[in-house]
Amino acid sequence: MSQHSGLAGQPAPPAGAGAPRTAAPAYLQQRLAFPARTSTPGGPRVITRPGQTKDVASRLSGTSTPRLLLALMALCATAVLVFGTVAATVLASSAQAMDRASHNAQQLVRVQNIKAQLLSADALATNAFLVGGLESAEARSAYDAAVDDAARLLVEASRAQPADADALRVVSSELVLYSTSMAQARANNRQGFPVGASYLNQASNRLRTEAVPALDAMTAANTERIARETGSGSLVVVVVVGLLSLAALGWALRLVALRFRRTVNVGLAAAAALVLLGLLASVGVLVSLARTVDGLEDGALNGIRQLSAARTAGYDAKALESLTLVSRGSGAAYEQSWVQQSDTVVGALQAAGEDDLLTSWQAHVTAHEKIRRLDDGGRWDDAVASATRDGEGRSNTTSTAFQDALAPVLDADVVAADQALAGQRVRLWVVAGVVALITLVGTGAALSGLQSRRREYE
Amino acid sequence: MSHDHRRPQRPAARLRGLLAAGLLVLVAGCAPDYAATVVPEPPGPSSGPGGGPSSAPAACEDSNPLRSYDPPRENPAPGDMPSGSTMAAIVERGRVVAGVSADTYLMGARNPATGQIEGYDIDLVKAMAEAILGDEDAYELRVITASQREPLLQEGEIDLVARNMTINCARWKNIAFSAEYYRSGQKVLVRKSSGIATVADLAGRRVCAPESTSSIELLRRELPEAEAVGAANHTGCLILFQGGQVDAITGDDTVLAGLVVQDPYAQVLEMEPLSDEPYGIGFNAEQTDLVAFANRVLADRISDGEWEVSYDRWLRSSLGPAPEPPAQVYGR
Repeated sequence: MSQHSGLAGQPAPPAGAGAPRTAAPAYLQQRLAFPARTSTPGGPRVITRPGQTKDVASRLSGTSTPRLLLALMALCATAVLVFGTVAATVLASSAQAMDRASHNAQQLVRVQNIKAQLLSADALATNAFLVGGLESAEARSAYDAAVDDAARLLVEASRAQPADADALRVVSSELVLYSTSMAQARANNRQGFPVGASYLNQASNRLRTEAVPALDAMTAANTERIARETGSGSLVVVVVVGLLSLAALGWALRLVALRFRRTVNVGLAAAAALVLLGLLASVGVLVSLARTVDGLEDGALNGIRQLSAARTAGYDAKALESLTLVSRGSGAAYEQSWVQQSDTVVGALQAAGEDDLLTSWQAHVTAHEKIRRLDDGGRWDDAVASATRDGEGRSNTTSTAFQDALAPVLDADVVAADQALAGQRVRLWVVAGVVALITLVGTGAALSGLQSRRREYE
Repeated sequence: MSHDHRRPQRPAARLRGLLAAGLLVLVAGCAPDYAATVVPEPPGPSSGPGGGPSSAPAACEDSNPLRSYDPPRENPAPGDMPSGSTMAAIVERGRVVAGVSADTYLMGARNPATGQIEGYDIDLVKAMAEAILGDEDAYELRVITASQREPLLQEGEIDLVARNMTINCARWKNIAFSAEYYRSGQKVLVRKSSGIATVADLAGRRVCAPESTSSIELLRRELPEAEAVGAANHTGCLILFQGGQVDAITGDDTVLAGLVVQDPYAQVLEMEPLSDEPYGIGFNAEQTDLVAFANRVLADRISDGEWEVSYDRWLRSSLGPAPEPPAQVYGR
C-alpha cells in the first residue's frame, strides 16, 4: 500500500505521481522537479538503446572492472599455459615414443639377424658334413664368420635392450653348446665314425628346440613393443584442451570488448591467434605422425617382418635338406620340416609382395625336388653330389642366389623404417619447441593486453 | 609507480608455470621399463624313433623259431635259376634289393672315404648277389629304419633285410627268416678304467640303451639296481657316454663292437650275454624258395670258411676271436 491516508478528511495524493510520502498537508506538498531516486524492482538495469533497458542480473556487472580484468588475466594466462603444457608434453612424449620405437625396430632387426646367422651356420655345417671329412675351406670360413657374427650381435642386443637379457642368455649358452657339438661332429666325421652324424643331429635339433624359440619370443616381444610405442599418441587431448583454451580466450575477448570501447583487445587477440597456430601445428604434426606410422606398419615394418621370416626359413630349409641326406632313410621327419619351411617362405614373400624373390625361391624348390627324386630313387650319392656341388640349377647355387637377392630388399626396408621414424622424431621435437615458445609469447601477449586495459584504472 | 608491487609477482608466476611444464615433460619422457621377454619352456625329451616298437616276449607256440626251410643240396648256378622262381625274377631285374642300416658301424655303415655302405651284414648281401647273379656288386641297398623292416618285406619292395634282425616267434607270423647267421647277445659296454668288471658292478651306475627297444626293457628287468637312461639310438647313447653322463651302454654285442671302434676308451665287458639274439636274414613269408636258397648260401659260407673271414674282418678286433659258427637248424 503506497497510499497513506492523508490528514483526516484530506484526499490522498494521486498514485504514481511520485508524491513524497510525508505527512505534510496537501497545501505544503510540492511537486518536485527531480523525483527521488528509487531502486527499480528486479535489480540494476542497463540502458542499451534509448528507450530500452536490459537486465544485467549477473555478478559480473557488479564486479568492478579492475577486479574483472585481474580475473581475466589469471584465466587467460592459465588457459594458454595449460594448452602449451599439454601440447608440448604430448609432442615431447610422442617424440620419445618414436625414439623408443626406432630403438625397438633396431633390436628386432638384430634379433632376426642372430636367428638368420645361426641357421645359416647350420646350413653350412650340415652341407659340409655330407662331403665327409673333406670340408671345403670356404665352407669352413663361412661357418666361422656366421658364428662370429651371431656372437657379436648377441652382445650388442643384450646391451641395447636389458629386457631381452634372459632370452639372450639362453641363446648364448645354446650357441656354445652348438659349436662344441658341431666340432665333435666334424672330428668324428673326419675319422669316418657314424657317431659324428649323431652329434650333428643333436646340435641341429637342439638349436631348433632351444635357441630358435627364444629368438622367436624376442621377435614377438619387440614387435609388440614397437606397436605399443607407435600406438600411443593423444591427439584428442590436445584438440580438446586447445579448443577449451581458445574458447576461454574468446570469451575473455568478448567480455573485454563489451566493457571497453575498443572492440578487439590486441594482446588477447594475439594470444588467441598464437594458441590457434600452436593447436594447428600440433594437430598437423600428430596427424602426419599417425599417417606415417600406419604407412610404416603396412610398408617398411611389414617388409622387415616378412622378409626376415623368409630369410631365416630359407636357411632353415637348406639345413634340413642336408640333414635329410645325412640321416639317409631315417630322414622323413626332416623332409616334412623342409616342406613347412618352404611354405613359410612362400607365404612370407607373398605377404611382402615380392614376386621376383618368389621366382628365385621357386628355382631353389626345383633344385631341391631334384635332390629328393635322386635320394628316393636310391641314388643317394648322386643326390649328395647335387646337394653339395655348385652349378647351374644346383641347390647351393640357387639358395645363395635367393639369399643374395633378398638381402638388399630387406636392408632397404630397414633403412626406410629408420629414416621415417627419425624424421618424425625431429619434426615432433621442433613443433614441441615451437609450442613452448608460443606458450610463453601467448601468455605474455594476453597478460600485456589485459594489463594495458587495467592501467586505465590506476 | 602504483603497480610496481604487482610486477615482481608476474614473472614469478610465469616461472612457476614454466617449471611445472618442464617437469611434466620430463616425467612423461621417463620411459617405463619393458617387461622381460619370456622364454618358452623347451618341450620335454621326445622319444625318438628308437630301435622300433617295444617287443614284449610274446607267447610262442613255435617251439624252435630258429628252424628255417630246408635248403637244397646244391644251389642252381647263377645263370640257371628255375623259371618262375623268385631267384629268376631277381635275375631278370638285374640286382638284389636289400634293406640295410647305414649307421650301425661294422654291421652296415657308410665308409665316407669310398662312399660305400659296408659291414658284416653287407657281406651277406654280397654273397647273395654273387650266388644269384654271379656278380657280388649286383645289389641295390635301401637304407631303412627298424620299423620299416617288416612292412617293406610284406609289400615286396625289397628282397631281403640284412639288418642285425633278431629271429623270434612273433616276427615269423609276418615274415620268413633264414637260418641263423650270427649268435649275438645283449652285453654291456663300459669305460676302460671305470673299475666295472662284472654285471654286478653296475649297481647304482647309469646304463644307457635306446628307448622303446628290447635292450632297455631287458635292462630294466634284469638289472633293476642299475639306473636306466634312454636315448634315441645307440650312437645317442655313445654321445652321452663320451660326455660322461652315463657309465655304460647296453645292446647287442655287434652294435657295441661298432661303438668300441669309435671310442678308444670303451670296451665290451667279458660276460655271459644277458639275452640271446640270433640274427637271421628276413624274407617275404611267401618266397620260401628264396629262403631255402639263402640257407644253402649260408651253409656254404660256413663250410668254406667265408663266415670266419667276414667275422675277422669286421668283429674280431672288438669282440675277440671268432666263436663257433651258429648251428643251422632246418625242418620248417
